[in-house]
Order: sequence, then structure tokens, then C-alpha cells
Amino acid sequence: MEIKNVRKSYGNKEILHGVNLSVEEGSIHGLVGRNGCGKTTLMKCMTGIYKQEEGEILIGGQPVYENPEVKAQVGYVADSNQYFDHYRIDEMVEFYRQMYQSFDQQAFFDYNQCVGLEFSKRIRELSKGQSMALASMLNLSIHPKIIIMDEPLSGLDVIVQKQVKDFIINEVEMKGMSVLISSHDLKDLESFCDSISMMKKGKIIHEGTIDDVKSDFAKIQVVFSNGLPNGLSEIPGLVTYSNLGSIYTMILTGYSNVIEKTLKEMGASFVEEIPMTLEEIFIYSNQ
Amino acid sequence: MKKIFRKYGILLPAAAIFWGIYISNLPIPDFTEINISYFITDKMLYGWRILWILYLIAAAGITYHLQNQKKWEYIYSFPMTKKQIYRQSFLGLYISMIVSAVIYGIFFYVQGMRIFTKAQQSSSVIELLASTFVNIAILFVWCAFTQLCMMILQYVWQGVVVSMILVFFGIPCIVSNFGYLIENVGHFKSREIFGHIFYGMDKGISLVPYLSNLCSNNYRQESAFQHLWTTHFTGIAFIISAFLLVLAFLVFFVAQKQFYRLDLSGNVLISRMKGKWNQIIPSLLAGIFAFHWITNAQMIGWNFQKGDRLIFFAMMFLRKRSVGVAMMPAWKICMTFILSMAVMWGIVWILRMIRRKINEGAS
Repeated sequence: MEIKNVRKSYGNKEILHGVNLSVEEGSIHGLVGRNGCGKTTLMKCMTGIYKQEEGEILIGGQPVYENPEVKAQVGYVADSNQYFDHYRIDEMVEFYRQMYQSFDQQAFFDYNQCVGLEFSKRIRELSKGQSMALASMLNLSIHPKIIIMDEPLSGLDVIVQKQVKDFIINEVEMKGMSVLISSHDLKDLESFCDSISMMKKGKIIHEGTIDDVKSDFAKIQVVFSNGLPNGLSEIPGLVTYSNLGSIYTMILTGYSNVIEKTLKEMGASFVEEIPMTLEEIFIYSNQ
Repeated sequence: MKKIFRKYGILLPAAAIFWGIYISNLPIPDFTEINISYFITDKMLYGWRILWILYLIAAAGITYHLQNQKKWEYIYSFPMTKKQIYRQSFLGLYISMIVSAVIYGIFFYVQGMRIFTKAQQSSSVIELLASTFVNIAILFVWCAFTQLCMMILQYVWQGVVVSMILVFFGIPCIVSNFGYLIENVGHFKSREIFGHIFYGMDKGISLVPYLSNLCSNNYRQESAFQHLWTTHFTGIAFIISAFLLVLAFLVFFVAQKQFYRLDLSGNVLISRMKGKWNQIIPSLLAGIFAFHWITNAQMIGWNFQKGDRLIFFAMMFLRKRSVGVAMMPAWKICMTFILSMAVMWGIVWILRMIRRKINEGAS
């Protein structure tokens, strides 16, 4: 999937300001960003629900919008219960069977053996977690080329979360499916995704593998035995710092040996880079 | 998709049967008691109106789900084009509308025949058939305009309000004026066909144009002209039916086209139209309505020697009385038209400016 310079507005308000993104075949790509940054709008453009004003969204080189052939290869799990309330689960399965030629009923039954939903239940009788699990199972059962999942794990209990993740990984391994998944649980994404994109105010600010994104930031611990030196705030790329006694923790972008040397010249007796979590990168990126 | 909106399809045929049985059981009055005959013909016409109101409700329900409910947006991710989604969603309603029109048409025709038989009229089967066809055709036109309002305005409540204004005030006003124009040109009472038949105006003489003996037109009182008027009425009724049906399909087609172009996230009519069309289209539409409304009101004033007083504007609106533009002098028609357009242009300009200011304030 390739997204090239996509712009999208609601009325006069531009939500997406020239988004570029690509998802490799057979990979799991995470999309993170604060509430209201445009993740869901981007996903709706990707699934052909909205039409972008500018730019291109291509799957296998074909545009998605108003293209049933391409849309048949795209699964979409919305951020909340997306199905018709009055439908029973078996009716929903039948609906998907009619809608998608590639729908694999047996695969759905296999998935459901783990989750254990009753087919006679109506959608409105399901809990939030159950309806999200149902959406994931139905969309995985069409064996899509790419599945777009908008916070699919929210509301799921730990066991079902693990089951759904296993289903996704299985589909990626067996069928080479690509996944674009958004979530606010960054620890989870860190362990689950091959690559990641970070959105801020309708733009992608970081994109790449988790390690690539992490390499953009550095967290270092510095000991200034003689107190805080003058000019620390002028160090290039300094995002923020805090201290506990003489130990200073600094967050920097573009950390290099030159900065380490500068710090030592300022009187640092000890400089050490320590690993950062995705959550920390997310927080500092949005500062 | 068809199954999702299945429940909406049940409404109309059920109402057609219910109201058909109701009118069939109405006692047929003695035609010397003219008020009772008005009463019964009005009741027969209400059937068409009920069908339209139910169509409006059903169309609003479906449109709400297809366009206004965020939760349902995901259906556009299914492997179908908007056109296919739209067609499949509305197909059941379209079929039920046609079926209910046919069902009610049969009841309407049968009851009409009973009335004619009791009144010992010499009207032919063809005349009554023509009357039924015109009513079916106008139902389709109403539904088509309703569909257009729903599709273009997108916000359901706006669609409901505009279609009600169109059906109860706009269309009768224009149709009536059009009828007068033909009447003046063609020298026969076309207004009875255009103006009275659909709305039961003047207390329900809607069937009268097809009962040439009952018609008050002097020409038709003379037996020598009887066959001539019968032919005229029947012929023009079929032509009107055909014209209205073509109009209805055209409007449905425009509504569909408009719908395919819509982006679900751009929910405001004015922001969807670009540049100068934002100003031109609303001004033109509002201007046409204003022109017809003003000319009708002026003619009432002129007819009743009351002058162009404001009260007649309100009266016209409330009573749906219209007397037509064709009797006005040409210069006055032109001036009224230009004035209507100019005023509406100004109003639209002010509304757009207010809207722009609000948007700027919000952003």
C-alpha cells in the first residue's frame, strides 16, 4: 500500500496535510498518534470510505476509492461496533459470504472455536469486546491482502487480545497479509509491529522500523558533579531534561559523539545512553 | 444490502391496502349533496398523500443510515461502488412504492367507478384511467423530488423540510401557474387538470375534470362539444402522465448522480458547490419560487381588488390558493421576475457571508 501526499478536509478544515506512507507486503505496520490527529480519517481514506482531495492511495498500484476489485482485497475493522444491530452473527457471516468472494467460512468457524461467540446472538447483545473480536474474525476470514484495523484491541480482555493477535500473525505468516493497525497501547505495538508511523496534527512525523524511529531520539544520563553548567539548554537537539541530585536525564534528537564531547567539556563526569520505549518517544514527539 | 432496509419496504403497500379498504367502505354520497362528494374525493386523494409521506419517512430513514450515521460509514468499505450501494439500499423502497401505487390505484379506480356509476355519469373508463395515471405519476414526481432533496441536502432534516415545502407549496404553485399559462394559450381549463387534481384544492373537485358532465366549463355543458372535451381531457391527462413520469425519472437520475459525487465527510451543500455556483444555484432556485409565489399573491390581490398587500402573501401561503401569472401584463411579469431574482441574490449573498463569518469564527 502506498499513500502519496494525501490531503483531506472536513468543510474548510484540513485534517490531513499531505500524508505519505507505505506499508510493505507481509508486514505489520503500526499507526500511532494523539486523539484527533487524523488516524481514523486516514484509515477511512485508505478503505475507500472517504475520498481524499489530493494525492493517491494505491493498493497493488490501483486506486482504492470506488474500486470494488481493490476493496475486495481490503479488510477494515472500525474503532467501535460496526455492524447492523438487528443482525444475528450467523446472518452477518452470510452477509460477508455474499459480499466477499474470498470469504472463508471454515476459517471463521476455526477462529470462533477459540473466541466462542454464539451464532444465534444478535449484534446488539454483544459486549464491546465481543463485537470487536467478531469484526476482526470476519475481516480476517476474507483473507485480505491488507487489513486496516482501527484500535481493534480496545475493549478486549487479555485472553481475546492474545487470540486476535495470534490470528493476525497466523494470517501474515500463512497468506502474506499486510496489516495497518492503530492503537494507543504503545507497549503492545512495540512488540507486535515491524514498522511504525507516528502522526501529529495530520502529518506523519516519524516513519520506519521501530529501531529507526527510536534512533531519532536519545535518552542519556549525565552526571554533573559540580552542579548544572551554564549553556546546557543551548545543546543542539535538546528536547527536555530533568534531574535527581547531580544525575541529569536528557532527551535529545540527533545525539552524536560531538554532543557527548560537548557535555564532557561542560564538566560531565559520566555520560551514558539508555534505551527508550516507544511510549517515551511518543510523549516527547508530541511535546 | 436489500435485507438491511427491508422493513422500510413494508410501510407503503400496507398503507395502500389500509387506505384503499377505507375509501372503498366510504358511503357514496348523493351528488346533490355536493359537499359530501367533495369530502369523499378529498379522502381518495389523501391516499396518495399518505403514500408520499410514508415514502418521505422511509427515504429519510435510509438516507440517514447511508449518509448521516457515522457508525454505518463502514459499508462504503465493502467491495461495491457508491452507485451499487445506493441502488441496492433503495431498490426495495422503489419496488414497494410502485407496488403500493398500483394497489392504491386499483382501489382509487374502483371507487371512482362506483362514484361515477351512482352519479350516472357518461364518463368513459379511459377518463378514469387517465385520472388514476396522473395521480400515480404525480406520486412518482413527489417521491423523486423527495429523493433529490434527501440526496443533495444530505442532512436528513433539511431534506424533509425542503421536500415538504416543494410538495405542499412549491410544486402546486408552479404547476398551477403553468396550468394558467396553458389555459390562456390553449383556451381550455387546463388548470383543473394541473392545479386541482393532485391536491384536492377547492374542496376536492379532483375527479371533476375527468367527469366532463360535472365540469363547470361552459363549453362542456353543451352536448355538441362533449366528445371534444372528453378527448381533450383524456389526451392531455395521458400526456401529463407521460411528462411527469419522464420528469420523475430525470429527477431520480439527477439525485443518484449527485449522490455518487458526494463525499460523506463533506456534509454541507454550500461547501460542496464550488465558486460562483454557490451563489448562482441557490439564488436561481429561490428566485423561481419567489417569483411564482409573488405573482400568485399579486394576482389574488388583483382579482379581489385588494391591491398587493402583504396579507395576501401570507394568505396565499396558508391557503395554497393560486390564480396564475398568465393574466398579468408582460412588463409586470418581467419586472417581478427580475426583482425576485435580485432580492434572492442579495439574501443568498448575506446568508453566505454570515456562514463564512461563523466558519471563520469557529476555526
